[in-house]
Amino acid sequence: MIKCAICVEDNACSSELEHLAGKYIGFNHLEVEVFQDAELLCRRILNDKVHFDITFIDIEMVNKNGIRTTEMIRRNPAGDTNLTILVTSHTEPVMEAFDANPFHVLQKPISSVKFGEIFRAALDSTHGVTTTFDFKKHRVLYRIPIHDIDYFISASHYVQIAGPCQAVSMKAKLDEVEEHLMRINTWDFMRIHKSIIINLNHVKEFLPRDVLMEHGEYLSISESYLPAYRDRMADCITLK
Amino acid sequence: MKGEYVLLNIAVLDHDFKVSEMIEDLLTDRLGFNNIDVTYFQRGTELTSSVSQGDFYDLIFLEIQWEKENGIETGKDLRRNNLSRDTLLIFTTISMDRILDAFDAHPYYIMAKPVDQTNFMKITEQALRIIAEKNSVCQFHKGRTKIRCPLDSILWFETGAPHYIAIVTNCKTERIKGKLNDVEQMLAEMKAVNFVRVHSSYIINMDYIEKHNMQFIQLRNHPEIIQISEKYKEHARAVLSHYLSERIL
Repeated sequence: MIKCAICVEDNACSSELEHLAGKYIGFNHLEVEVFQDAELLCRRILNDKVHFDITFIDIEMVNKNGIRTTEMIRRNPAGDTNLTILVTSHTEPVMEAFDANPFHVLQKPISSVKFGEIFRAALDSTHGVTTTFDFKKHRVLYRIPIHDIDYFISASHYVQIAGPCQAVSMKAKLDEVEEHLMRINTWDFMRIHKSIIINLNHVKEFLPRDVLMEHGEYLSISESYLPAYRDRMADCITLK
Repeated sequence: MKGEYVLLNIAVLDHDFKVSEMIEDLLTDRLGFNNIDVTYFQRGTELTSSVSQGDFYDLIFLEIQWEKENGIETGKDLRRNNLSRDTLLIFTTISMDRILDAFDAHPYYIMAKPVDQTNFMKITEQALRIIAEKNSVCQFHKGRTKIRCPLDSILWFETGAPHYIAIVTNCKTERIKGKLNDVEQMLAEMKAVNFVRVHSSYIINMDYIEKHNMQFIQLRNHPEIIQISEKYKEHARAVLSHYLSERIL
C-alpha cells in the first residue's frame, strides 16, 4: 500500500493528482489524504507522526508558503524522510524551491506523462527498485530479471514466463502471480486476459483489442479487461 | 578496513578551471577536508565513461550548461547507467533555463553561479556529513591507495591467492590484501544484511542471486557456480530463506 498526502488548494488539481496516482499503481493499492491547509498537513506529520511515502505540496498557497512548509517538515525528525514533490503554476523556476530539497517539482497544468515519470522515480526511491521475479521450482530458487519478462501466460495449473530467454514455467495460478507482482511493488505489469499478464515496457504497439509485443506476438485483450486497458493505454503510448 | 578515516572521492565537471580550483580550495582550506581525492573532468562523456568503468564518486559537482555540453543530460545518463545511489549530485548553473529538468537526475542540490561561498560551504558540508554517516560504502586499502565501493555494487568477495581477496563488482574485480574473516566482520558491523558467507572462500550478495539450491548458487550475469560448503550449509540455509522468503512467489 502506498500512502500519499496531497496539499494543494486548487481542488481540480488535487483530484487530478489523486486520479493519476491511482491510475498508475491501481486505486486499491493507494491511500490518499487530501489537505487544503498546510497547517493541517504539518500537524498530521509532525504531531500525529503519520508517515507518507510521497507528499505533493503546492508552492503557492494562500495561508502558507509550500516551500516553507516543506522545509519545516524536513527539518523535523518526524518528517525528515518525507519525499516531497512540489507543485507550481510558475513557469519560471523558483530558486528558493531548491533550498527545500524537494524530490522534484511538477508544473501545472499537470502533464500525465511527466507525472508518470516523476511518480515512478519517487516510488523507486522510497520502495527500492524491484529487479527480479522470484519463484521456486523443484527446490531450486529462480530469480528472473523483471526486464527479461515479456508476459505471463497460464495454461492448466502452470504459468509460463515468456521473454527473450528460454521460456520458464512454474506451478502457480495467474491470480497468485498478479498479487505477488503488486506485493513486490512492480507496477510495470497489467492483466489483459484471464490467462495473460503483460509487461507494459515490452509492448511495441497498443492496438484497440490487441497488443503487439516487441518480439512479434499479438496478444488479445479480453472484454472484461478492455476498460482498464484503454484507460492505461493512453498514458503508456505517450510515455513510450 | 576498520576504524579508519574516510577518504572521499569527488568529481568536478566544470569548464572553468578556476571554479574547479575554488571547489577544492573551499573543501580543503575552509572546510578542512584533507582526506579527499578530487578528479576533474572537462567533458560529460569522460565522466560517464569513468563511472561506467566502475569508478565510484561520493560527490559530483556538475555544471549544467556550457558550449555543447549539457550537464542535465550527463546527470540523467549517469543515473541511467550505473551511477551509485550513494553518489550525491550537486548541479551548478548560470542559467535557469529548463532547470526543472535537472530534478530528473535526482540532484542533492542545484546551486546558482557565481557560487556564493557561504551557501556553497553550507550545502557541501551538509552533503559531506550525509556521506560520512552513510553505512553503505566500504573502504579498502589497495597498495598505498584506498578504494571505496558501494555495497550494492559488490556481487561477491572471494579469497584468491594467499592473503588476497577479490572483490567482484558489477563493473570490475579489485584485488586487495586481507582476510575474508575481516571482511565478514566489517559487513556485520555495517549491518549489511544482504551478504552471507556460503563457503570458507566466498561471501556473496544475495541481491544478485539468479538461481540457488542448498548445494550451489549462481549470480546474475556470471556463469560461475559457487558451492555452498558443508561447514556453512546450515548458516547459509537460514540466512537465505529468511532474506529471500518475502520475495518468493
